[in-house]
Amino acid sequence: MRISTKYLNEQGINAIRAFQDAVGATQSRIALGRDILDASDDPAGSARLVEVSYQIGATRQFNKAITLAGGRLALEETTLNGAGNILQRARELAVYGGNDSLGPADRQALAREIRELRGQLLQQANAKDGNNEYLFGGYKSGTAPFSDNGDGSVSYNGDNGQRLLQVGPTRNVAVSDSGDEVFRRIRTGNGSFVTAAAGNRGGGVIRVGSVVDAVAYATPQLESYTIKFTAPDKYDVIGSVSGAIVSGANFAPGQALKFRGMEITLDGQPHGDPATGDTFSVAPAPYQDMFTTLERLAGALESPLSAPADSARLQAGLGQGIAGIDLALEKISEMRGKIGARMNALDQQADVNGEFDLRMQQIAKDIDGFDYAEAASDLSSQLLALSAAQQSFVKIQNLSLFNYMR
Amino acid sequence: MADFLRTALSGLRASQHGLATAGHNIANVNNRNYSRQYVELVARRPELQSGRGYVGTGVELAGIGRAYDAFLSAQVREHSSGQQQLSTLDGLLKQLNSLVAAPETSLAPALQDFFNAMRDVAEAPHSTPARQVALSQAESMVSRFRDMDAQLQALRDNASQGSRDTVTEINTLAEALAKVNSDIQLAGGSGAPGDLLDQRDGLLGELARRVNLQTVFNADGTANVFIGKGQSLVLGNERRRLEAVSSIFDPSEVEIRYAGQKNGSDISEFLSGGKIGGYLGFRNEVLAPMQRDFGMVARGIAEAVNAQHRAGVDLGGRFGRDFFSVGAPRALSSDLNAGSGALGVTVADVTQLQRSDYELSFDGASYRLTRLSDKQSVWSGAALPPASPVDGLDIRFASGAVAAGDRFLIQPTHMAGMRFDVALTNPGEIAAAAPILATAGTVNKGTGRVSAGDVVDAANAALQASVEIVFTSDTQFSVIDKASGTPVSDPATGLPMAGLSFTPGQEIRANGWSVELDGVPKRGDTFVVEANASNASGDNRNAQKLADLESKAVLLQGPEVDSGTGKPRPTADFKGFYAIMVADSATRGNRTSNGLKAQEALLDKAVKTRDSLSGVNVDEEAGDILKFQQSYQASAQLIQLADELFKTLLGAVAR
Repeated sequence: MRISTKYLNEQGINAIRAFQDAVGATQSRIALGRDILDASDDPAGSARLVEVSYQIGATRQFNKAITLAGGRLALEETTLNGAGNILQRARELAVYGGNDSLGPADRQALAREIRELRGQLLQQANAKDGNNEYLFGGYKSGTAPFSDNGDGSVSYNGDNGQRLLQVGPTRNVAVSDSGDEVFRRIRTGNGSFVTAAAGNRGGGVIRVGSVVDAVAYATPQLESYTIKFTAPDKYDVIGSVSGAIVSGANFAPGQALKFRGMEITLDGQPHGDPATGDTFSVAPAPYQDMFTTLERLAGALESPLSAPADSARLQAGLGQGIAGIDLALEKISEMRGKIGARMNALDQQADVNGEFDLRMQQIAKDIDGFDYAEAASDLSSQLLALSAAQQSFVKIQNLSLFNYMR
Repeated sequence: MADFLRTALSGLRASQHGLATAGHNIANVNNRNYSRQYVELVARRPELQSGRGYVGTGVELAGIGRAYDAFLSAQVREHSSGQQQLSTLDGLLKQLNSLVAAPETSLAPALQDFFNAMRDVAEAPHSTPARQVALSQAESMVSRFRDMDAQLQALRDNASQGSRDTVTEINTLAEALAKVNSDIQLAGGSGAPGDLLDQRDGLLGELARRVNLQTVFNADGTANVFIGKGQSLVLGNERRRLEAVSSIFDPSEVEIRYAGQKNGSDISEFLSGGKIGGYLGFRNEVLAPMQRDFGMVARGIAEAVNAQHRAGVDLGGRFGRDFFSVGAPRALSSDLNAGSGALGVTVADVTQLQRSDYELSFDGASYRLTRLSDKQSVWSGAALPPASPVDGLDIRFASGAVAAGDRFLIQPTHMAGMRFDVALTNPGEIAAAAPILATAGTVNKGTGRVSAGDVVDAANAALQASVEIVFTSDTQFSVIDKASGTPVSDPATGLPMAGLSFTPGQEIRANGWSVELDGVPKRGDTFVVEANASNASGDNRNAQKLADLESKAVLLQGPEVDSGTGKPRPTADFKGFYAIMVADSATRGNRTSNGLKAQEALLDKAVKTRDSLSGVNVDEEAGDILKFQQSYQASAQLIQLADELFKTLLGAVAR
């Protein structure tokens, strides 16, 4: 076959150009550290890479949220811990306040300290995070959630909102609890019902009691009851819905009254027996906020002891105060438990995200599998080919019959 | 004796012709269109000697041959046409792919930055800096869209300019070919010089590099050229002019027609191959769909984010307004329309949009809407608008009257990317909070808990009305409107919501919201759903939902039908749709560059085959030169011999 000189020339130049192209491409790959230079080199891979890089970015954002959520929850935990310590101290004071050897001045001092503690608790409830946001305001995080009305009551200015943060593709974690939930939604009494004496003459002290049979307690419905002493050793129980359910039962001091799944101790001694006509009420426990609990405790300590009933009232007040503080502490530890569970969830999610990220990085690397060693060896073999093409071109160009026609 | 000298002289002349031809060949060794020439020699008529036999009288030139094969040249033309088309397309696609798929310029990071900023707002909804960042990221996302659209527009202009220039070149070449044809005619008969025919073939080759053509050679050596669907471009020494003019629908589009033809006689869809095929193919098959798809992503983001944003409330407790604005669908009337009607097209449901443009035609009695991607007739009817939106589009007349034969081109998302913008200006306007909040009553006896509440239908007029869920017994509840004191009607059944039985964890829907009620409520317990406070700056519910749109399927309906809406479910979220776009364009690029490699190999082979016949080999010419030099020297020697013989004879006579 004839080969035209022009073709031979072009062939040589084309070969050199092709190898130069390859060298240039390898050089760009090394410079950019990337294997896919042009989407058309690997269409499926490029499309996949769009998604995978996106996933990697999204995971990064989720990890950011985890750090943020962890910080917030830790702060809430610390704050609740502080609140728990305050309540613990108040409980100790209340127990001490029941001591018969204390004089009125001692009790006044105790009451003052309890008020002081109440103020500290209020500060904890109005705690802010690093972003100047109130921890316990619900969604109204820009407003101080609790304000002291000066008359012993505290108003809540927040709402019940709970902020959720997304920390994984399908996982939301709560990063706040409303002050309403934490500080206000605490049942009084024993957590189920509340007992009270109503301006009685006798010295009978009604204890907080307990629910011993949860089914019987709420059957047929929740209602209030009145315990009425028809004689110092006889009583009736009248339900607000059911009417009389116990009548003319015998009473001995220190005996537990039992009805509707409840067990309530009524102490006669040493403060005296109930008098005829004395009544005690038992009602489903309403909510009472922690500040009111402390305020009432202080109030109970402050009230003078002049009549036998006063002493009974003090004992009852201290008993309710201690029970209230116990319930508050229970609430605090319940909330701390929840926070602990959320922080665990965050840790788990961080692990999951980490693993996911690693896998995505691996996939990205597999798709765009760039390897410097490989690229370097590609480059040297391409350079070799280029120099071979150049040398052969020159050699062939030098071959001409005219060289010999002299 | 005299004959002997004549014979030598003829050899001398023949050798000179040979040397001249070899010189001509060598001179044209790098002329691409040149066909090697060679001398054709023939022995002269011999003389009869005394009736005994014939004695040769030398040689004479029969002609100058041209090493040429019409089929091989036609093959080169065909392959160079294909190669030019693919190489033009490949170059443009490389630019496009580096734009859409490169990590630095791709749309995906801009999308992610925006949604991440939205997540930051969800993490700190009260924070003005976080909100400001979200607005800035929204701005930078829309400007990425607009930049991208501008870049695509630049590529489009580039391709349009390319096709205009190519049309000019085709005209110039056609004119030159007509001139060469007339020169060939003048040279007459079959005797046209090879160099003129080479010129003709060269022009044909150049034409073929610009547009696919069919060639018919006439007996006199002239060439007739036809393009497209057999329309003539050059006939002998006559030629027709092409012109590139504005399209009947869109003045910014180029269409190609014969000069002097009326509007709308566009032949560009018949032009394939060559550079013009590359430009037109890129514009119609790559760029227009890409621009349309970009618009679709913009439209999808705008619709989805706006809808969610309207379902939330801002820092002032006001319902969110539109977050983004986006270019409306474009409806173009043909220049040829007799009527004055102008269409107004709106997007009714972004999830139902198809990746296509549409043509609406009116035949005097009924309208027909054709989806251009698959040429399907998707709707026909006697009056606009269609009873229900077609492919998510609502089409009606904005103004004017229609006449029979009128045509309209509808591009639903073509302009969406270009006009994508952020409508919000104030960071406080970001509606991060939900408009409602559910709260358990403060004197509840049971342990019932209520979720904060979700907005299901932001358009419900009673959404923010105060509603109380009251437990009439431990197991039954009613949903009471607080203003009227009457039960709210159930959105599913329309019945009043009174005395409904309760299961823990139950979802309750009314007035466009839903709440989840759990735990054990007791008789008399209440749960209130009411308007969220205007200072609920810590509420991130709606911001969370806005951020979640990131991975919500919004675009591109699939085969699965949603039982709730009765419409096909969308299948792609924004990044997924973008990945599809990247894959489409990359696949196209991949196919083109592979096709180009194949076409280059074919062209190379065709050139090699043609050149092995027609090309000049310098070594061969060197051989010829030696050959002719030798024969020249030999002939010269013969003349010297004749001279000597003559002298010998004279000497003998002189003595």
